[in-house]
Amino acid sequence: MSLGAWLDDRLGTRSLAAGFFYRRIPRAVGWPHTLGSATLFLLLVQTVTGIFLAFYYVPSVEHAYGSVQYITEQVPFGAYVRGLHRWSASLVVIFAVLHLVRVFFMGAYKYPRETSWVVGVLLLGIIFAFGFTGYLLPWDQKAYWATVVGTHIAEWAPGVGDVAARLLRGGPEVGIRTLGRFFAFHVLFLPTFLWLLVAVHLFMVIRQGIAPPPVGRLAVICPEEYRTRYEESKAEGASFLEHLTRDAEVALALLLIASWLALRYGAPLEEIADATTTTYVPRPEWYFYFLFELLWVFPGRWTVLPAFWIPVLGFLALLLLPFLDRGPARSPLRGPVASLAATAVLVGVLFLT
Amino acid sequence: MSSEPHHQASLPRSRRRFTMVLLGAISGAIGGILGIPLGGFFGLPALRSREFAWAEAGPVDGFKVGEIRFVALMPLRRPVWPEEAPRMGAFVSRKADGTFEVFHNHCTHVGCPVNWNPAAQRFFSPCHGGVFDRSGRVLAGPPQRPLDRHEMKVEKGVLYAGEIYSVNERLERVGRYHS
Repeated sequence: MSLGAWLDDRLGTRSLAAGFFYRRIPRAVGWPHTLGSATLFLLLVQTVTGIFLAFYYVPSVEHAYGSVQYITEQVPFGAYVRGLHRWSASLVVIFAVLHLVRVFFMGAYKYPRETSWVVGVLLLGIIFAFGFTGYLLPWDQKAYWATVVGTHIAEWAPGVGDVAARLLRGGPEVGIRTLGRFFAFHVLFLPTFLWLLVAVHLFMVIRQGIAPPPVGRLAVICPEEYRTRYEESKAEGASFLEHLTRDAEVALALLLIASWLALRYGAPLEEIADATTTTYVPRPEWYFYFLFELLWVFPGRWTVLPAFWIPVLGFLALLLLPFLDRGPARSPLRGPVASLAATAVLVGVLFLT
Repeated sequence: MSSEPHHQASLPRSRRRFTMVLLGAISGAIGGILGIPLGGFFGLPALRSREFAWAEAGPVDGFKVGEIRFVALMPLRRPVWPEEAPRMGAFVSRKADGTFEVFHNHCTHVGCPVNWNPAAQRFFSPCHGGVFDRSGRVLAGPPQRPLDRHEMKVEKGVLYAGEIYSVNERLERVGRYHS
């Protein structure tokens, strides 16, 4: 009796696997639909490389910088592992945003997938939180000053700014407790919530099926007829297993790209953090540039807009998009206002970046 | 409801309600017993005030009248974890009348490290164009309040810097941050 048959006899695993791998997916599901699995793969790379980095990294102000130096310069493959973690982090941000843009322009956030969208936007928030907490850990100049600036921006939150900034830092200034907090957030708290929400996100995708492209009879939302139309679309489509080969090819390509970036450019490590510098010019990681640069756009007393209202209201609007945009048309060409607004925001963010 | 599933209907409504209330109460108790101490554990050390230890800025005679000089503040007592007093940067200004002002080196806009330019007699922030005069008042750029200051004292000819506080445009003390 084979192991597969043994398990199947007890757990019914074969029908489970068949239902997963051989389920039919709607026609015209293609390369754009690999962006989600690409993000998932990169998150796996981050988790694995992160776990291995934790074998050598020491989260204390006395030893953090030295341990990162040790990883980079002495540990075999250390520069590669750290470089991979760093570059794959940037790719996660890129692919999560591309995935979101794809879902937006294909109208896939509309009925019945509003909940997948909400969880997806929460995941994007978690990814940015990973970025913000992650680059403090090497405790170099960039780490220290980006965190001074980042937590100082939190002070602009009306009413609760001082308390919020102190809770983030663990005290009045960036210091020993900030590092401990950010470490705990980055390697314990955030991964727990990330994988919990990824599981929920995937459960919903599998339960509801991959969203069909907004063409033909599925271009307009019609809750009464949705299920029959979706079944029709699936009858013409391929099996998931065939699509999975595309996902795998993208994953391999991404690993090769990230590896090349890691070997070619590595991960930078500036001078050790120095609170007494008079010459250092803080710059955040590239995916926070647009917010940092937005500070130029709104000077003086208006700083509260880019420091608080624009990120907070922007995130809320993104989170609640399926409930704000309730139009039945899924194709972007049929809902030009939302599409134009979204395009303008995208161009603006790219320009500031 | 007529569409009530069988397994739900098999439990009488009153029993179901009682069970839900009981489960809710137990969950609330578990959440409270764990949540309140953990919340305090996470938040309270961060919110504690007055934990900046006095730090030595240097001998009084080392500061020339009319000069503004950068100093690295060295905490007086050895940092006792976790009441650590970080090493910080500050600008000591000795005014014409011989008295002192000690400025925190973070710009009041978003916290970039400011520098004193003696030729221009200005503090400049490297990030978004904040400019301050020798009393820390805002001259240009986005900052909304003067540079933060350290409490200070002189003992046996040595200048010490203490807790950081904010001032309003009339240079009156208003608390740790803008109020």
